[in-house]
Amino acid sequence: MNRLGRGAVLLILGVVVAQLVLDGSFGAFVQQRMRIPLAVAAGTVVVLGLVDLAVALRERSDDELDRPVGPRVGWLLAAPVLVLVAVAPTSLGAAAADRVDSFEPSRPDDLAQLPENDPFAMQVLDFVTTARWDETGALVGRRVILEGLVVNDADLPDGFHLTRFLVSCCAADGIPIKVTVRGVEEPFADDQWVRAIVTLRESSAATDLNREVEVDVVEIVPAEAPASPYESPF
Amino acid sequence: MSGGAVTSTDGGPGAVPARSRRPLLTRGWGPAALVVPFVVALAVRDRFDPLTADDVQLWSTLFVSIAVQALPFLVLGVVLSGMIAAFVSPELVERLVPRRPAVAVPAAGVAGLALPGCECGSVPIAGRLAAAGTPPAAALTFLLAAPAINPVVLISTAVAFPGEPSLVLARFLASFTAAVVVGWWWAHRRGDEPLRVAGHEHDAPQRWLRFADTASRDLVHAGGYLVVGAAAAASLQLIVPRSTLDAVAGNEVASILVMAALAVTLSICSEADAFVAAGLPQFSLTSRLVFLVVGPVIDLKLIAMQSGVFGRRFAMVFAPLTLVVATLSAVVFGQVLL
Repeated sequence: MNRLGRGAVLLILGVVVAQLVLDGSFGAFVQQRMRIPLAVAAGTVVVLGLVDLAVALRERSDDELDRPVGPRVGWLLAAPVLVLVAVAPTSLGAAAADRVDSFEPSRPDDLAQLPENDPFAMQVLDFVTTARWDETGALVGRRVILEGLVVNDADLPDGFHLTRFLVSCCAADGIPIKVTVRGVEEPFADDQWVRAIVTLRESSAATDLNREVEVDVVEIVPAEAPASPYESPF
Repeated sequence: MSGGAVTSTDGGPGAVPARSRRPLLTRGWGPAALVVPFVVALAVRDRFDPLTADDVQLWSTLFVSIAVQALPFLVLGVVLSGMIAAFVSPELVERLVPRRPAVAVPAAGVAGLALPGCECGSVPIAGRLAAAGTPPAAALTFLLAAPAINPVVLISTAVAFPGEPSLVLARFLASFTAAVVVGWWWAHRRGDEPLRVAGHEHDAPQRWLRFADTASRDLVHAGGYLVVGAAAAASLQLIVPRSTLDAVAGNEVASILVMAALAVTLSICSEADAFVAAGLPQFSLTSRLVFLVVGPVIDLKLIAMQSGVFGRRFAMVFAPLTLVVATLSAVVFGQVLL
């Protein structure tokens, strides 16, 4: 690629990444803590692109203009830009939920104390971990607010899997965490975000660790997608 | 590709530096690269519904997320390597590396720890070192160690595997060991047989321009391969049937061989490869360690670059040697530490 091409590719890449940061849609791909590193990187790439364009515009002869200053493989940097604009990819949803085995929490060192208030909100990750490993059964029957997206299942006529993705680094390593919600009267579409008050049927620590975490629904309403669609183990 | 069918417009030998500038729009692909992707992408989005199909959406999410996650680390790496190219002279590096191979080899490995940069950046630096009189074995050790164990690479590995600090340690030790073993082997078998070195220069006059030029050159180089790697990881997740992927990943020997082969073919920059490895959660940690140790020292891009700088005959011996040593080192440290 010549200098003008290199500058052009860097500039659009930088602008598109800056746009992801500004409108917050980077949260579909990476974690919120990447906001500042991404902003700095986008700014740097924009500056590098502008420097190239400025130098290219001052170059005097055609020979100088045509001189390669980067390998052909560099044109591929335009590919993520194309994909972002053409497909407008969204955060992980029902289509991704059946690709990988669901998250199975290992035995935690200690479990968080449950709050007194009723109902109380919990991360889906904490809810599933407690449901699996709390031998005291303190969570059973408590009214808990969970937020997640709907993943329907043909074997579940009266419910769905309330799903959240656990992301360690970026969306590509996302693993679904599922809670099986029963007793839903009006079905929801796949990928609809919901906010539900639920009660845990039984703690698997007492029965069978391989069983799904099953809850009964008390109340359920559609919700807006949260700014951070993923939960992080760290 | 750049500036495809272009003939020089100025006259014969010794022509004055021509002022015959073509109009902006005919100067190669640059202006097109600014506009065409957006027009094509918008047209595609409005015309074709299939692009919203589940698999296309999911592929795009995986692909973009690996590329976006790796970008800040890539940029940090090329900024530092640009600084080194512009502000640190090869003479300084050369003075820091001792002459006796037995000591010089590990010392060159440690020097690799201090000099961030992609493997693409370390090939020319190693070439400059060898040309400046550093023992060849030490220059080669630097070539292998610098891209594998520099701080940017270790930080990006820690970010990609936040729950696995031992993986960072294992990566460091396995890569360092592989680099030193190859270096000593070279010193023992090939002695001081000099390396033929082809030049490579950054020729911008001012330092700041040289800095920007080196950073941009490394960025489009490494970024291009990162895009290949991200696309490959996303495709592996979606195109290979889950049962096949699970079967391979379930067999430790098969997954080590597959991950080593992937590392060689994908040619991902060492500052970005941890994110691609994190995107393949089916595979065992040891096989992903093999991917992280093999990739920075031997892949298709490096074989091409090493053939260019050191000659084809050198690359024919060096590439398989490095592959075997790096794989074994990763397997051993993976067994002990992971």
